[in-house]
Amino acid sequence: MSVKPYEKMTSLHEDTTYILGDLIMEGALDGGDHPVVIDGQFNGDITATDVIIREQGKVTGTVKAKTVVINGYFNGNLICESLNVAATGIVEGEVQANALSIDLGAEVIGSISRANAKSK
Amino acid sequence: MDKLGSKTVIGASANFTGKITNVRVIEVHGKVHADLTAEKVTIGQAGYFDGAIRADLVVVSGHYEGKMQAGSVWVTATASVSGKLHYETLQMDRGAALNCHIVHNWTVKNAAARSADEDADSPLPKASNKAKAGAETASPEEGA
Repeated sequence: MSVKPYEKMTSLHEDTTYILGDLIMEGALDGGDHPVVIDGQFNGDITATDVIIREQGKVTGTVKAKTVVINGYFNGNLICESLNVAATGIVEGEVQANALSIDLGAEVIGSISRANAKSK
Repeated sequence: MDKLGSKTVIGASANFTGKITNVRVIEVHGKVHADLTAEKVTIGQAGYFDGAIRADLVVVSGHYEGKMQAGSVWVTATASVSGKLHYETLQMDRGAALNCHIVHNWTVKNAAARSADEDADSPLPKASNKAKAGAETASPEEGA
């Protein structure tokens, strides 16, 4: 079977979920076994292995993940194994993490505690 | 990464339920239950989309269910579509499964725009329209 243009088109970045641009998503997102990259606005619940909030990303709600990197803005409930808040990151709310790193310049407002066993 | 621009991708293992707004280009390889208005929507081979779509261009290679209103629709060989499909131009590849209600030119505005295009493109209908218009304008004069 020859490769048609649309097959090429759909074979790019198939696994990772990217939420980019000016869009606004509301609801529940389960990223499955693949990373979720957010550079837009998301309101709601995210469950995934890796969650990366980029500089333009804004997330409000609950995030459950193994690894979380925040370069943008997060407000809500965060449960993860390891969290990195980069220099441009802002975190407000309740954070549960076993391994935590906050870069110089980051803003973290709220409570921080260790994650219990039920975190993904 | 920058090549992606503002394209949003729902990954193969992802499952999203909710609302998506302000989107321009979106690719769905996972499962999405949402209503959206966009410029371009692509549903990949493994993709599943349930909900209403309004877009300029929709490429369906996976499964779609709902009400779609689109300028151009390309239904590829691996696609299956159910629900309602309102389109301006439609391409369907051999093997595609359409189990849906299909309507051409769904709004009055688009229907008018399209007939204007046809007039500009082909001289024949234009000539006949002119003749009709001429006949219409001529008849009241005759009456008077």
